[in-house]
Amino acid sequence: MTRTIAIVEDDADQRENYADALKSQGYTIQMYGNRPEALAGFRRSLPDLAILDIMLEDDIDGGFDLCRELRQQSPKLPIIFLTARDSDIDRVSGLRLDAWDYITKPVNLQFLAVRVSSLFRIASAIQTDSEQPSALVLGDLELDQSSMSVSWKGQVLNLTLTEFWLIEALARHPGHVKTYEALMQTTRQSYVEKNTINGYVRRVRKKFKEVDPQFNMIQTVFGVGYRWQAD
Amino acid sequence: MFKTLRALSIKSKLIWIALSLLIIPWMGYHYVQEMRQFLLQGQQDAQLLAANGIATVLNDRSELFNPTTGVQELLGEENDLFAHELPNPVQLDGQINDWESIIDQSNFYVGNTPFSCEAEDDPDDFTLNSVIGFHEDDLYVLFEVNDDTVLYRDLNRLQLNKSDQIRVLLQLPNGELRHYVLVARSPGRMSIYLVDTNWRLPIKGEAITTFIAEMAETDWGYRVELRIPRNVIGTRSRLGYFAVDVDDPVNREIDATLSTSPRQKDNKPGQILLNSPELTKILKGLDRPQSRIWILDREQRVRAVVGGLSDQDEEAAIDGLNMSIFARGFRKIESYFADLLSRPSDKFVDVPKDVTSRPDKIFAPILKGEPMVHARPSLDQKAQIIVAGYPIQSEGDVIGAVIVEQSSNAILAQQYFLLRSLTLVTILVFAFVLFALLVFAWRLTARIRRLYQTTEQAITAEGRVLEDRIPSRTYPRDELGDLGRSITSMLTRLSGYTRYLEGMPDTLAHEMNNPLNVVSSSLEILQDDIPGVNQNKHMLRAQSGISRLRAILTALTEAANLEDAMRDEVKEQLDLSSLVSDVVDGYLSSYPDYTFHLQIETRPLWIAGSADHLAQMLDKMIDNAVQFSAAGKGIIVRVRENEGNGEISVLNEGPLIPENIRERLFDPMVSYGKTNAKQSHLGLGLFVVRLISEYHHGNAWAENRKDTQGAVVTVSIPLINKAKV
Repeated sequence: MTRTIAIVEDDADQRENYADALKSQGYTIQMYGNRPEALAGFRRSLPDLAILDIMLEDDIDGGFDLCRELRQQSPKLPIIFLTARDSDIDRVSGLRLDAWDYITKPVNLQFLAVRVSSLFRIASAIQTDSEQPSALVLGDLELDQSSMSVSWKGQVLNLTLTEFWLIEALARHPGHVKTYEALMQTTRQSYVEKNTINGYVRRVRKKFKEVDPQFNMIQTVFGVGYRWQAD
Repeated sequence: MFKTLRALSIKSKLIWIALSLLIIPWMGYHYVQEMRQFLLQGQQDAQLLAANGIATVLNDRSELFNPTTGVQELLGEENDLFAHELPNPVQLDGQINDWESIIDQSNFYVGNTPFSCEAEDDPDDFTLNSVIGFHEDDLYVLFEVNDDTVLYRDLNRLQLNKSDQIRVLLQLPNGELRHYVLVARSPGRMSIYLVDTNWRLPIKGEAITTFIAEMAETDWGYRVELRIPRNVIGTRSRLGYFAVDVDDPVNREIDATLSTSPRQKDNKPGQILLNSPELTKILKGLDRPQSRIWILDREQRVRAVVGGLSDQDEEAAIDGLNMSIFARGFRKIESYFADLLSRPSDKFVDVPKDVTSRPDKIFAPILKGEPMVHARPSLDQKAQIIVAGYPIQSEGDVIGAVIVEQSSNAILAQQYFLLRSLTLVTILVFAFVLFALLVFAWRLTARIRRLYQTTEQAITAEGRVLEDRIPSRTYPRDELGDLGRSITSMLTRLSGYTRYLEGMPDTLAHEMNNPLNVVSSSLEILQDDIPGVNQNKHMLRAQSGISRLRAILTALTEAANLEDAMRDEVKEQLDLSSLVSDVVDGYLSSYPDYTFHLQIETRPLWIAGSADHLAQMLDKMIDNAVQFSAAGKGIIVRVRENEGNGEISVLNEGPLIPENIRERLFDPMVSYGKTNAKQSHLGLGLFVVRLISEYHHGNAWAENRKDTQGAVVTVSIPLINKAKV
């Protein structure tokens, strides 16, 4: 059974390009140009994954509204925001709506495909609910690769895919410095700058500190990158 | 002049304007001065009129200028003797009844002076009551002597000074003195002798018969009536008389002498003046308070003086002992005023030494028949005296002059009180207006300053709007309030525009991201669809162009994102020097083509900040330095403390910064020098440096190296006291 991906994007060219790229990976694609169309389509049949732009025609926050409505219909549906809006506020609002990932344009289509397949894997892992021993335990940190979930001192952190990959990359080699270049690769984004990495790390630290104010495992190596502190 | 005026603050200007109120007292002063002139003129006219009136009354009264007439107590010296007219000739019979009409005018002599009443003198012991009368050609003198023992002349003694007697001193017009002694052996006719200057021996053995004297004993002593023909005395003779008391019948020494002269020693005879009751009445009627009237004859001899110029003892009452402090203070203020406004003196002296004649030249015109008015200072210079004169005429000739003198003190005092109240009112009004103006100016300037400050603070030197509202509740509905509201609306519009401008790169980037995404994704699909196109040089160029575009877009959004990111950043305490050394270590691997020289002059340098952002700031500074220096050149990073600030300087070798953009270098989209066309250089790096340094309450600046080898970019961040944290 082929998986269905819904793409909601008001720019026809980009929509078609995403569709082309994902179709070549064997997915079935539903395309919508605005919120009413998308809503109508979702009522007929729910997709297995949704890629949403935030600004939909004149509807500035159309993507957020759509996300909210999708969540009502299916709490477990993987949702990716793919948008040109790069502010922290937008990121936070997107993730608060329980989106699985937040990708900023321009996006590398290969990487988009990678993310989509990762999310499908996570989704199926959650559905089958099979505990695989691929979990990494490092002191207080528990990292489940299949469900892509991270716990710190027993509390689950609400992370996006990119953030999960970053933590995973750092925690796999405690004490070793991960350079900016290496970290840029892990985000699987087409164009990433040092500051983008800094921003991710800052958000990750914040999420850890929400559950543990004393958290200081991620160390900055100025000018080079970051490392997970060895015990 | 106008430039300096313009340079004054509003407060000083208002005070200057308030000073213009001083014109009011100035005007008042001039008005009072003019009024004074007017009043003085009025007084002069009034005095002249008075002189005229008096002169008219005295016209054709030539007896006024008869040397033998006079007005008692108004005229002459104190030892002058006044003769009063008798209705009938006196019978020399020792009876008082002939004298009844003039007895009231008698002078009473006790001791040396007519009026003294000293303790050692027993008034019952020896006193003299005397009066002079005249009828037709005879002069009569009555002596009432109070003497407990009446001692008559002893004929065995040759000396005449050995019994009770009356002495008469006569000075002839040529100055020759004649001494007469009146003695009696018994009541009845007295013997009169011309004696030597010692009153002892008669010059002639025979008694004189031109004078006749009658003596009678009374209950208290004796009475003498003397008759002297007026032709004996003449018109210019002077007369004095004495009563001599001898009580001891054995040795017959003189016990006491009473004289008509106030001074016993000089024994100067006085003038005999015939009293004219009519004239006295006229002149007495002229007596006016604080004015003095002189009647002069043709030779400017004084015929009469009436009145005095000043009331001597007015002030004394005020100098009481029981004055309150308030009253004393008031007196003190008043004395300041008196000094300041030259208060006319109440106490002045204007009594000429010689009152017998007024030879002043100023009276000359009057004697020629012309009235005159003149003002002169008083003799002690304390007051001004107005003198008005008018001729007295008789049958067409000027026979004398009336001089009316009055001090202008009344007017000057009036002026003084006017000036004083004017000054007081002015001071009060001035103080009030000045106070009101000051309060107003203070409020106005305070409001303007507050408006100025809030406006200044609302907008940064770079023109960024921090506050788009000036609190308007402090601005009432006046022009200044309108200004405040207009500034508010201006700021609102400006901040809207600034927001638009600041959002522009972000919006632009956002808008460009979508087409860029179309291009890049299409290229990707092309690569998949057309085998071998990967190596196509045009494909490669397109991809390189796209990555440059992406870099530009990222840079454009970086600053906007940075401000958002820093907003909720928590600052921590960190050592700037070790942070810089950590970061620079990293650059050694990031920029292998350049050599880095780290100079840390001071450590540690504790600041409160965000390490990530500081590292980002340093990245931008290094980026900037690398961009403007050739490969292989050295880049110096210097850290030091300077006046309580931690300073990071990055020095490169390369082009100098043109002076005209040095100030604006930290504004967005400002750059200088030649850069690699393949590298995007939007001039946003130093803008980020500025944002981060400002976030740390520091500042950033750029300058050229002193050795002119390149440029220096410096960031200064205030240090914290580590103990506090």
